[in-house]
Amino acid sequence: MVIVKLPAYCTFLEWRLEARALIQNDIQPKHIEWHAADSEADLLWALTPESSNRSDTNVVNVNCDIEGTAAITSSESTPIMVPATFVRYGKLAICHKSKDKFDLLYRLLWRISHDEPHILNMAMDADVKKLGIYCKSVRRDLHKMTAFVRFDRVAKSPNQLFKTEHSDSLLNIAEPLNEQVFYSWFEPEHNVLAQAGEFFKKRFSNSTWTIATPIGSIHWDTARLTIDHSTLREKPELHDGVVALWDTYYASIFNPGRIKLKAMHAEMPRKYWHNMPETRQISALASEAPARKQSMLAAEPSTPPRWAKKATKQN
Amino acid sequence: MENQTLIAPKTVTLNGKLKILADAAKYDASCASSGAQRRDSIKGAGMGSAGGTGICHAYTPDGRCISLLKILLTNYCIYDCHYCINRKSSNVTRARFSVEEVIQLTLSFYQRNCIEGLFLSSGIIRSPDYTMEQIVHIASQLREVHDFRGYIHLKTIPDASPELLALAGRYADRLSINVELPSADSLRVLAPEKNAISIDRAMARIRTGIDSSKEKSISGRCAPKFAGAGQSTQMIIGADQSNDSHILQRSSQLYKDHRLRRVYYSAFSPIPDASSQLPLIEPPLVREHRLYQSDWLMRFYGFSAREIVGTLKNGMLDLELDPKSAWALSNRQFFPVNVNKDCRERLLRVPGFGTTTVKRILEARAYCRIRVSDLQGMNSALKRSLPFVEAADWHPGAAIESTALRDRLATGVKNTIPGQMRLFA
Repeated sequence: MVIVKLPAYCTFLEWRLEARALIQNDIQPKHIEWHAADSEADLLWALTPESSNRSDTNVVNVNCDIEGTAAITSSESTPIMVPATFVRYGKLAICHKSKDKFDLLYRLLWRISHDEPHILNMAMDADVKKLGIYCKSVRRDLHKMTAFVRFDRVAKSPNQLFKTEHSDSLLNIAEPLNEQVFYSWFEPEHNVLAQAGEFFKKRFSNSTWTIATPIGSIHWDTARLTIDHSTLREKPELHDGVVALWDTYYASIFNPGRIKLKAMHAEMPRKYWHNMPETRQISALASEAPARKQSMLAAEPSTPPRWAKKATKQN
Repeated sequence: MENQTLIAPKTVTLNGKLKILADAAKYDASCASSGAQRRDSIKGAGMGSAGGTGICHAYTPDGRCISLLKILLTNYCIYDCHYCINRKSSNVTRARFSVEEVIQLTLSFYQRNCIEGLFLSSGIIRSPDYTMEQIVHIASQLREVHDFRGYIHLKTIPDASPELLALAGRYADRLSINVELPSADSLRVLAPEKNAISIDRAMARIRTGIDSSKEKSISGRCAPKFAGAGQSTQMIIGADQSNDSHILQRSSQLYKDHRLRRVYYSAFSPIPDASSQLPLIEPPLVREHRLYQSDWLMRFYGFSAREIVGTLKNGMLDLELDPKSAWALSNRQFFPVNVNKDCRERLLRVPGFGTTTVKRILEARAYCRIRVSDLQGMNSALKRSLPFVEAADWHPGAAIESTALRDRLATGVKNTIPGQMRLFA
């Protein structure tokens, strides 16, 4: 049995280095046990107070421990040809929270490099299907993160969070963007921090912001993007003044004449709601809707306002 | 920029205006933020990125997504369209944003990652040109003063001048003009100030603008950009007597003539202080859903409007059956489709096969003969598809002729109103 120790939050590149060596040494999937420093326990995905100080899990160990097999040959010997789709899927699947993703990727790599080079085209294959499910789940999680992250404007640095004070605290458009600091708390299902970081960097490159999550934080200071898995932050209770305006918008854009709760739940699952302040209004909006619709249907026509007669097109 | 002609109460707070002017904008179904040119804020001075798929930042209990800040500049209007909450004869509370307020709201919501950008529309005040000028002014401020690189969708006023339209196209990712009603006759009755010919003319102008922005000059220079995410429109469903056959033919013609990205269908839904000339109804949500399905068939599945319309009874889509199943039941001689031999176009006609399933079949069959168990691994709606397909180990035999087939494909909506309540409760 070969035991491979991977670093915490292993990237596709890190995994690929190990996998390439294993394939070149002709080590079969069933003879490998993959261990990642972050999957020893479920502590990453269900954060408990004791686990919040876990600098030890961030130790990087890219060395292979091989017991009872030949030493690894130089990785330059024979190149392994894989279709581009394998790399694309691999980069997504590696972010999945499951523990068996390394095993699944290696099994597919083995099959591709042996006698099934076209296996990724066989959607009905159990491994391919599983890979597809993992990738879809990661892609969706990333997409939902880009959608549902909510920033609050804070005074000072993310280490000392202060709610901004103004009542109608709109962004002051005269104030330079690069003097403004924003903070967000989000709970992704998978480790999509790197990709999410790239997305938000492009979008908000001229202000300073932090997105804290249970598995680490993403920080942008207008010049450098940092993903930090070692210092974990708590969820802050922050809502700046814009939240009230956003609540107003959310309630006003809703049409009580049509209720489609199933469609809403499918696209915005409940697990995201507690970090989205606007969702607190949902139950009231939905329960009052039938009465609001009935009153519109039942209302008698009114007399037009006086100005209506005079208001005509001026050319 | 001060309020003209029609005076808004000065005391209304920003929150109060937002409430009125978002409420006034919600009957426009479009909220798409996709299809824009890829860009980001990295080398810019402001905020924003766009490109690729759109992002829906929240969903409301009506099942619609919130992607853009969708507001009216003002809900004062000199037009009197009977279906509209903002028509001049309505007693709805009026308000008007200042240019700065719209910009502040857009940038504040955007910076907090609540929206992809702005969808700005307006009631007609003074004249179409005057109103359009205000709309374009806001877009130009966002782009040029604040270097905003998010998404901008501008509602275009058909009678506004071509020069203003050209400016709008320069700042906006998407332009739209609502045809509102499927027929020119209905428009004449229900929206007396609007006119189908000028709507058509403005759409043609936008198309020309988009087309010429894609051409390169002799020297190889690119033309200035113009509404990169194309144009769209909306039709209200159920406010007039137009049937589905009429609606689908009109859509198909709009896609063809003006190369629209999307036609939105919006079930006529109750509004406050409705017009006495247009009685309110329960919004026909299932009908709206079937129209969207048919629209999808025309855009992604190679169906022509004539084929779909050909299966209709009294010109109306079957509420119990999705339009693809309805077509299959009226064209049973077309089946079975052989999953190992037939072309993509034929595979796309199978009820229950979406574009993804078809792609998977085509990829896999290059290397093996596909059996039913393989199909099971590729598609979750196989039960619906089996009567219509032939696989290596499967032939549907007489199942295609079975009279029970309809029951198997129907969604269980027995009669419109209670059915709708069940489906969407």
